[in-house]
Amino acid sequence: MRVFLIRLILFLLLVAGSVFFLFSQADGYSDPYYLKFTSPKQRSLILGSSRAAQGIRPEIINNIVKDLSLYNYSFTILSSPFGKVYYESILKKLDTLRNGGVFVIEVNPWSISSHVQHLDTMHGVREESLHLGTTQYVNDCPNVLYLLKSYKSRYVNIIQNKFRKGEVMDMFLHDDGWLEVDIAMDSVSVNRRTLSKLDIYRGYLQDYRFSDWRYIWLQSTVSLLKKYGTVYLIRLPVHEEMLRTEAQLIPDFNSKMESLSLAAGVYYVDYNDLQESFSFTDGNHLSKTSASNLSKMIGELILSNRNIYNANGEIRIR
Amino acid sequence: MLFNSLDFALFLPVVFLLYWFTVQRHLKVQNVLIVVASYVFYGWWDWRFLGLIAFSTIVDYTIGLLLAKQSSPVKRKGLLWASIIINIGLLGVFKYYNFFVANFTEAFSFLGSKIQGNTLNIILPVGISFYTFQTLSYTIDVYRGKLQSTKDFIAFAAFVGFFPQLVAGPIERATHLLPQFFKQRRFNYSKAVDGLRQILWGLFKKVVIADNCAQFANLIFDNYTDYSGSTLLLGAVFFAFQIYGDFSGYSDIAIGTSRLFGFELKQNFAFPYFSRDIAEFWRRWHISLSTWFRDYIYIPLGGSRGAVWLQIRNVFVIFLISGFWHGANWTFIVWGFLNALYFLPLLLLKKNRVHTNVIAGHSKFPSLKEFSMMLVTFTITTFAWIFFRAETVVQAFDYVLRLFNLSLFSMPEVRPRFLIVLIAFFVLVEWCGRHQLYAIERLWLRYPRGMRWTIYYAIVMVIFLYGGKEQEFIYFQF
Repeated sequence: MRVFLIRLILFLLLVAGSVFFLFSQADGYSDPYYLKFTSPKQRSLILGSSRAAQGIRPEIINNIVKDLSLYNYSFTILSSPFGKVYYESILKKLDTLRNGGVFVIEVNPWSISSHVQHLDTMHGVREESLHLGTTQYVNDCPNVLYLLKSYKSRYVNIIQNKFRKGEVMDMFLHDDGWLEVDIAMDSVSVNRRTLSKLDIYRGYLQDYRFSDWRYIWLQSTVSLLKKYGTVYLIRLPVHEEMLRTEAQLIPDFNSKMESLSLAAGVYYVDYNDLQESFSFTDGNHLSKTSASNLSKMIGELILSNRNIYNANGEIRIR
Repeated sequence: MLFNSLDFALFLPVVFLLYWFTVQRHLKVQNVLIVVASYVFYGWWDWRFLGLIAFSTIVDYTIGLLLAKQSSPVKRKGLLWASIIINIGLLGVFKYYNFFVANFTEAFSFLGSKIQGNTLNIILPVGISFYTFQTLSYTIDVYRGKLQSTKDFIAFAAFVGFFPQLVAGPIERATHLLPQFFKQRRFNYSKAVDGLRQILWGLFKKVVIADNCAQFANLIFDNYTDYSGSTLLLGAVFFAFQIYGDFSGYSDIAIGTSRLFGFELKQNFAFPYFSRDIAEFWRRWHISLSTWFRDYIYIPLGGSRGAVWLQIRNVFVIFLISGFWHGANWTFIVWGFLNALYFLPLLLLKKNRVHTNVIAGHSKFPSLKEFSMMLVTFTITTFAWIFFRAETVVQAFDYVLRLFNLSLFSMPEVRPRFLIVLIAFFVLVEWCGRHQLYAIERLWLRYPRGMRWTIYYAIVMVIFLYGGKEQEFIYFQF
């Protein structure tokens, strides 16, 4: 028995060592989420759906606001709508030992809506079984548990994707959490993707409704973050047809956000007024260039509002 | 708990260490540990159904004791039927009730009278078809006098609930497994290493072959109207490898795990895709179920003796029951019917026992004739798998119609090269190891330890790197 156990343990150590080495090779090419669960706790966060994950570049904002170190902790509309799962994950990512942070929360009608079957309940919501719901530890590097339980591809992709970069790979997750998407931007491709995306979202209109439950969790998220710094609620620009679809889902979305911002004493900015200045990959997500432009605008907003706040302590709502 | 899960990877070493280090000297306590571990293993999926296993255990244990005391043939038969009715009744309620209600309702509607059938909103308890048949084998064998009933309830409970084979077999006979619970088990290095080797190969079959094939088979079957005939053919072949890798992989892990605990289970798959005719296929596929049907249904019905029409009836009865055992759906019944059709000519021509040896027994490669026979058998088996996999019989026929058109000769739209390479490697290893109980049993034993370890290490890494995402074993639903 002793010989058996010793040999087995040696063999397993060899395997475990190889697995650990493989895991240590995981990077921004491995999947669109992994690195977000490997960074340390953060003082300043960008939160929201894939619109924010692709559309807000921390690097650009941090360059404008010199003492700021924003980290993009946004995921997708399926895994990070406002709710208990996202709230608890944010709490784990947040450096609660320090104040004075900045929190950019991207809001949109889908992120406070639910399937009609789960309008007012946590039970059965989709995000429970997705990345945020299944990842208990969000600050480990390498994050072995994430790779074992939540990584959706074959592990060979961790290695293969490194060599494929620039070939078929079109996504790269930066160290600051920004998801860079390289995709054809010719008008034919963009139109095709936009039509397809619009179809999907119009389909969602059948089953999705505004959820009080999610709205309360958004309020709780804002209240939580307000304790640790300044909060900005941001609505990112989308294609006009997408905007119309969203107006069908929650017609009074902006007034809801304005009331929330007033009540909580935080900023709310809707960038859809400037929609024509931006380009989209699929009507839902900003292109890389537009992401840079928008991030610059957010950076300037934070900078100017910081000055205003520092000067007279008042909150300006647009 | 799935064999290919992190939970089982933690559960197995804990039970193994407790079994050999803390309770080794006490047979009874070892059996208690097996019962507890088995109930934890099963309860991990859904603890509410533990009551069913316990009930089935108590019923057959009691009936076994009563059979031992009873000498009146009528009363003995009554006890046997009580066991059969209770066990098959449970199976009927949980597995077939809704099927019968739906079909009766439809049949009456067809005849013009509308009736309202009340279906049950229940889920199928995992493994019920397996442990039910296992406990039944005990009662029947006690009734037939092949086995003495046991007074040791713990040993009997361990036999019924033995976790390695509880949820998907192999369906062990009481005559083979139960006596092993009465014997002192001693740790045996060679057996344990052999067990690990079989677990390794089972995991390869399940995680690498079956789960990856599942990904593409599901894609093709779920969207079959969008694909060409050649892609549909590939989808059927992927499913053939999926179901083989899945089920035989599970059996390998079950047998290997049992060996770690000092138990021997019977071989359940003997390289069925290398069969030269359908009769040989059925001697090599799911052996524990085929022999169960043979011994408890086919032979009592008369088997291959008697008038020709009786022989034909028996073949159809056995294959239709086998199909129905797999699930409450007409697709399984059609699958069973097809296999009966394949089998019948061999039986009637008395050629059903021509190929009882291993193919190409004394050479490395099959002869052209053997290869063609193997190919034909694989083709007709794969054709039948289409019915097994499809959601409905209509869908299966539609799939077949779309398969056989000119696009069968075009390039398939789905061509996962890595998977085709993995399948080719898998078939090669299985071919090389076809004389053994499982492919890698003795395949590399003459190599030096360093080289063997390198090969096993490589297999582990392939499992890890190319493993499809954790999927339930197909046979859990049966």
